[in-house]
Amino acid sequence: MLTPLQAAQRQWVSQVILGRCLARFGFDYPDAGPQPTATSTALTTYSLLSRRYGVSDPDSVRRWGYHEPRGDSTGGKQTKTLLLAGLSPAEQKVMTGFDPATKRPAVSYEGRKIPPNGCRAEPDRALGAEPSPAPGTAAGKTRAANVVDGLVTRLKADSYQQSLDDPRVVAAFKKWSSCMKRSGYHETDPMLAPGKFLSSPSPRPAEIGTATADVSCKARTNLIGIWFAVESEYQDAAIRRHSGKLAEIKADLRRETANLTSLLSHEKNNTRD
Amino acid sequence: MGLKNLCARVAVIGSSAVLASGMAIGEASATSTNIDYWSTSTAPVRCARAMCLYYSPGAEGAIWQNGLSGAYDLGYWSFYDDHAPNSNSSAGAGQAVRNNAASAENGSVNCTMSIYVYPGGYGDVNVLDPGRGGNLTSGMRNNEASVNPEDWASNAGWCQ
Repeated sequence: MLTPLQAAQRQWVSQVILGRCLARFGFDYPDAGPQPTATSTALTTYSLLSRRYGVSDPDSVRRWGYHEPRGDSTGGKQTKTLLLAGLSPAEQKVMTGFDPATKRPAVSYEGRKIPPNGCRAEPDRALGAEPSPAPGTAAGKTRAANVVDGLVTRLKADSYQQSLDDPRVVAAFKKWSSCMKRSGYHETDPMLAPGKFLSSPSPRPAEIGTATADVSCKARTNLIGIWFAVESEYQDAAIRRHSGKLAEIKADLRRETANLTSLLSHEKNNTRD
Repeated sequence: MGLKNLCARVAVIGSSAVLASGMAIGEASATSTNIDYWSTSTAPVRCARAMCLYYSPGAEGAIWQNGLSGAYDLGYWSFYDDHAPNSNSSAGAGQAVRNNAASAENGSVNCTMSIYVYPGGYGDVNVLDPGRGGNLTSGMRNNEASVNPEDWASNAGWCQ
């Protein structure tokens, strides 16, 4: 997978490219902000997979409990989420390359040619990523009731479920639960404990106490180490079974990250000029 | 043990997998890292919010949709019939959203959305890029508990 920094950079450059494309047609788009760096707040506080095995950082839970850490710099910042349904029909046409009124591909807007699949597809083209099916094509109309795309996503999902059922992980959960009980907390499943506390907008002492004990017991029982090793075994086997396709994906990744690096450098130079 | 420390430990024990932590083998385009399959512009267009879950695969069946703040426990909501044409939109209406979803759509333009196995954004995850829809993985289907915008991916702090 992309590293968290690469993923954030990919998202950032995608928003820059999308905004620039919309601007060519006269539409405004929110400023993407500064280019992400390794010290960007969002990266230092959270990443997509950091809570796969529950909480694990003693410093974080002492402050946040089971709540998602929030960087100070994002506190109070107004969200600028844009919904496709909230855009004007004209902007939807340019965004997607599909006319919601005629239900057909949109070729141009006010005399200017719309890129294939709209401005939304420009970032994927710039990165050399595989485009999604066009909404007006047969593939786009087929919602494929029995298909799940994303090989790596599927392999990760399978290994996760397999590891949860593995007797070694089941035994580790039991040892963790015993440790929690000795600490005065009655919890049987480390992945269900957080849900009991998240109805409050911010962490309270009981939550922080439980989460702190949770992390401590994980360390004492080596729950995460065992779980990680068990899941890795299942993933190793899956990697061997799918080695050909994963090699293709890896080659695609190398190309895409090279394109990403080039785009980021170009944007940095543009900012300096 | 934090996941960052675990990375070093994995190197020591020689594990080569680590798809879970994303430290080893890479993924390329968005289509291998997430469940993106169709465009949300595909008719009938049902998703008017950032995150939409459906009782049935292929964005069919009853619907649930939410804003951008995420939902830490989908057990608090129920699917409803939006009477969308050709969608069997009454299937599952009235049932709890938690552990009953089969597909999802991201109706935002600029935020990645994720669905998690456990409440609060914990556990395995299915990810959707803006403007995309897809069927949940077999481990997530009828086994999902929370949804979250991925603010880590938005440097401008948009998606919270």
